[in-house]
Amino acid sequence: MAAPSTDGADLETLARVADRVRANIERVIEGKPEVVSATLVVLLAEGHLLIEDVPGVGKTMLSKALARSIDCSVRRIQFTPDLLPSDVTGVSVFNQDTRSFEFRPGGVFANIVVGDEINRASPKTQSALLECMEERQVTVDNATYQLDSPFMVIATQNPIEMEGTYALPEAQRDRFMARVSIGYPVEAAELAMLQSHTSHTPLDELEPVTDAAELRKLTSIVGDVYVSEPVQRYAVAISAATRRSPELSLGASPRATLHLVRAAKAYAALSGRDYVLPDDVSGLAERVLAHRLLPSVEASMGGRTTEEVLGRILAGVAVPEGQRS
Amino acid sequence: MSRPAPSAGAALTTAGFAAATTWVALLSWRGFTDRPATFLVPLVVLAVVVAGVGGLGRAARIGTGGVLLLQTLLGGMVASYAVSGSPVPVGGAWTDLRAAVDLAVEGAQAFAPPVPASEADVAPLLIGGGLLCLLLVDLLAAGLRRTPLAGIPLLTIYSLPVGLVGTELTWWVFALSALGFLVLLFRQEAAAVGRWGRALDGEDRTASAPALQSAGVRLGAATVGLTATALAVLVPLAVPTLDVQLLDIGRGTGGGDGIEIENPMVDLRRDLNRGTDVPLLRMRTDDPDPSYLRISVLSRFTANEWSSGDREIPTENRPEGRVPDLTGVDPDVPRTTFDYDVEVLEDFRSTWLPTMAPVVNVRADGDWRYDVETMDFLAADDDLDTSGLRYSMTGVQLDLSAQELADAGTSAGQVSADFTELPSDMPSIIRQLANDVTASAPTRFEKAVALQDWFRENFTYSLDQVPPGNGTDDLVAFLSTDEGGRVGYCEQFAAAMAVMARQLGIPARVAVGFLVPDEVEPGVFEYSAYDLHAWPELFIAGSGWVRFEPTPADRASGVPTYTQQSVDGPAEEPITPGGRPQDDTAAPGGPAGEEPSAEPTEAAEVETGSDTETGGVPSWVGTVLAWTAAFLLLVGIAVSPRAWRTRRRRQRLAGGPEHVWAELRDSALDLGVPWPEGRSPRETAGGLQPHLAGSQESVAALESLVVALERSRYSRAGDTATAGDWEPLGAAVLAGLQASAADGVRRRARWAPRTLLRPTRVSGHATPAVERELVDHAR
Repeated sequence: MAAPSTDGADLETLARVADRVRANIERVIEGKPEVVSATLVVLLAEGHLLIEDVPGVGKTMLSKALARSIDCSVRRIQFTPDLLPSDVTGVSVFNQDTRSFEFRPGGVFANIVVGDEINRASPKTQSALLECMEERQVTVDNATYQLDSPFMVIATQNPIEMEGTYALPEAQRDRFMARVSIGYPVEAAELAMLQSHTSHTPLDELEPVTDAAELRKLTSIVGDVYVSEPVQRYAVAISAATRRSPELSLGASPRATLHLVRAAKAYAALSGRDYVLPDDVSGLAERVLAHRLLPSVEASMGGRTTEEVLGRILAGVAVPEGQRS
Repeated sequence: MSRPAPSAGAALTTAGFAAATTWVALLSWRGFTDRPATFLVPLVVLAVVVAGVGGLGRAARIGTGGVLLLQTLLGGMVASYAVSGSPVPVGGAWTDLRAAVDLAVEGAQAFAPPVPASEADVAPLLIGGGLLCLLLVDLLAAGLRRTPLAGIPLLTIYSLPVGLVGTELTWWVFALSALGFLVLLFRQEAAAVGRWGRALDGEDRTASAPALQSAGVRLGAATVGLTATALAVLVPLAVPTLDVQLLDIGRGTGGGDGIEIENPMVDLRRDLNRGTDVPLLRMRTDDPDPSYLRISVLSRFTANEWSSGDREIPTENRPEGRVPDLTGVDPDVPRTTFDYDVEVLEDFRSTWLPTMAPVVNVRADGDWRYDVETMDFLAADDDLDTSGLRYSMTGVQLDLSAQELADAGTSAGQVSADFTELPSDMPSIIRQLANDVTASAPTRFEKAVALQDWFRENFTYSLDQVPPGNGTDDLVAFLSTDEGGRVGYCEQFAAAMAVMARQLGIPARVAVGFLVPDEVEPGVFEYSAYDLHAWPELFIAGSGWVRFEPTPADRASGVPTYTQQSVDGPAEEPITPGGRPQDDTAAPGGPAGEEPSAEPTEAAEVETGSDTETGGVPSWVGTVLAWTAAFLLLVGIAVSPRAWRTRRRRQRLAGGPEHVWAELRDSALDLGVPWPEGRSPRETAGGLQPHLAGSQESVAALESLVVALERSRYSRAGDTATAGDWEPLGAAVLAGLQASAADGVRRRARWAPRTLLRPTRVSGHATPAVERELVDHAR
């Protein structure tokens, strides 16, 4: 597998840009560095991010902060129960002047799409995102429209137990590279937040620190990060183990394996390495895999969460020792 | 990572080779019994059982312990069936089994190999031992995959007969078992090398990896060789052989008036010194002069004493009528036979049966056995003695003539070289005296007569204030002209003359028995405690063992008539001027330039002699050497794990990060620090940090090492970052590990490292191409 080598300068560029973005976001989201890191990983790995948490912890703030930090087109779609699929993808309307149908792009035609409260829309509307998220294109009335690169969907949702929500279908969940939960801030961070957010709105003061072109370059750097055969085997072994586990009724899909390795590459690049470690893979496994897995009835009845089951599976999968492939 | 189960075929093949090799090696035990099929055939079945159960069990992933348990169980049942006829030894079968094993043990102790199957069936012992060996070899070679170690039991099997029986080994047994062993080694190493090969395939393979492997094999082989040699030396020393030296320990004085004879010399002295004379034995005979009734023969002279030495007493050597013809006596020597009916009185308890010498026919009840070399009779049963015994015998009196005795040729080869054996450190005074006294006598016989006469004329007989004993120092004192010298009783006279005869190369021994009896009524003679006596017997070709009487006339009034006759004519045998005549059984090695022997047969036996300083090596030197060698080998075995471990550590630390990491793993395990299998280097290092005694240097070294290892394992091919000297890093981490371990743990890790016996690691498994393709999309 001949791949162009990633040189140290590229990695330094990546680290510099990533640090700027990180600093920008942390001006808004305080005390959550690991969430910000996960967000950056998904951004660099060209994945889509699902932010799941209770209302009011900063889900929308995080997605908007990320969008603002990048000088590119940003659209926001508020998912409501009456939102129609055409509102997402776009619609063809008849133009009286030209006497022809004209395509009006929907909300997904942007570099960064913030889908707020995605699980409040009907499953039909949610599914409108399926094609664009995976294939980065929109097909309306037999015409296919390509989406710009980079393209990233940042969706927020409330936990499914909340009232008035529709659970995301499995196919939809599988298309998100990672799911993060923000969680409540620690007291000191909350205090700082009070001081900064009551006098002014930090979000409005955010300036873009990078642009789409630079982001495209960064993602190509991540793509060149080397994944050795043992690490590949390790990722496959983890996915295979989730499929075998009696505690899970749905295991990880091959796409999940793919996302896992891609995310690991981004994480390795962010760590200044041009090669992936098994630890990168195992460290990201929960964020990348957990939202795709369905616990079996027995596991649910036994009070075991998907995260616990996944933790046990990870402990049972041996790291291959083999040397270079 | 768990070891993949071998395929049933591969597991069965390995186990089959192991069992077949063991069985072939067990062929070397053929010499233990005269019917080898009685144990070799059951062992074939046992080999099949052990190999089958082992192979299938391992293919089915039953643990090593489980397989061994199954093998032992099934093998035990087969062995039990072969011995007792029932696979489950309960009830009657258990009794049968016990009886068979007891009989085998008794047989092994009582008989020299090959044990006659008609007398005692030792097959149960051999089957049991064989099963043990089969299990051990299978466990080491097939179970733990430590084939080099399996060489130890194999070599032990092979060397056991040498140590115990001293038999010649069959070359083809060795060749076949060595071949089998090599096949086993090859099978293991081929698998190991195969694993190395795949891991490094197509890359800039580091030369150190295969070198390390082969060095390990070489070292393993050296350890095995050392251990096996030590076992071959030590096992025979630890296993008792038949030795009548046991007679040294008397059963105590017994109190009362009883006379006991176990160690003839010791008992003789005690009984001669008794306050009162005790009649011991009554004999009815047509012999007008039944003197010199022999009880026992002492054939071995060590620096301390004359003793009966080791005896071979096979069961057929029983006094149930005719006993073998007279040793070395020409058929044309005139002879008279007399019959003797003996009644031993209650007070005389001897484990030796008094007989005339020579004797041709003995009939006695009880398990008496005779040694053909000495023709004395001893009790094979611990509880047997002469008290109250009645028996009969036919003795022979030879009409020897001095002329014929003097004309006798060499006796080389007619008697054992043991009869001329002397300690190597004999004081030269004895030899000097022997030469001086016999200087004018031309033949062996005349020299013997000269010695006898010298003793009778120049020495004083006395039982009072005699220096006790008959060892070298006692004899030197006895022979010296100093005050207190040249006085003694029959023990010293007989012992001294026999030793001096041996110095002259004449086979000699000391006989203990009764001198002259009292005729209590016509034809009935009574022997009493005061009649006990000792005399030398010297071997003269054509006349056999000839009695002499060096004890002065105060005690033994008469000497054998042939020693008083004159001898005419020159001796036929050349005499070395100023030196000694040719040795009869073993010519001692003379100084360089000595005339070559007239008789090539004698010259050829120079090596076997041991009676002078220039002769062969005395037995104690051999013993000391053997024990020293055994000790050194034991020391070698004790230090070899440490040496092996140290060597492996040095080799690994000089290698790349992967080797240093492997060394860290083994060192941690040796020190009892947990080392999780199948974790990433970073995770493993995290678990290791608390065991580094808080040393910052060690922690930093560990971190650098982990990064290096990750680079070597996971970074892009062609990355040169793996080159470098990792030894200081490895050493720093090792220092931290050792510093945090307790002293005892550290000592154990040094001298008995756990990883010594760790099964060969099998790492990695094939990656299906499909999986790899899938992940390629991630690029």
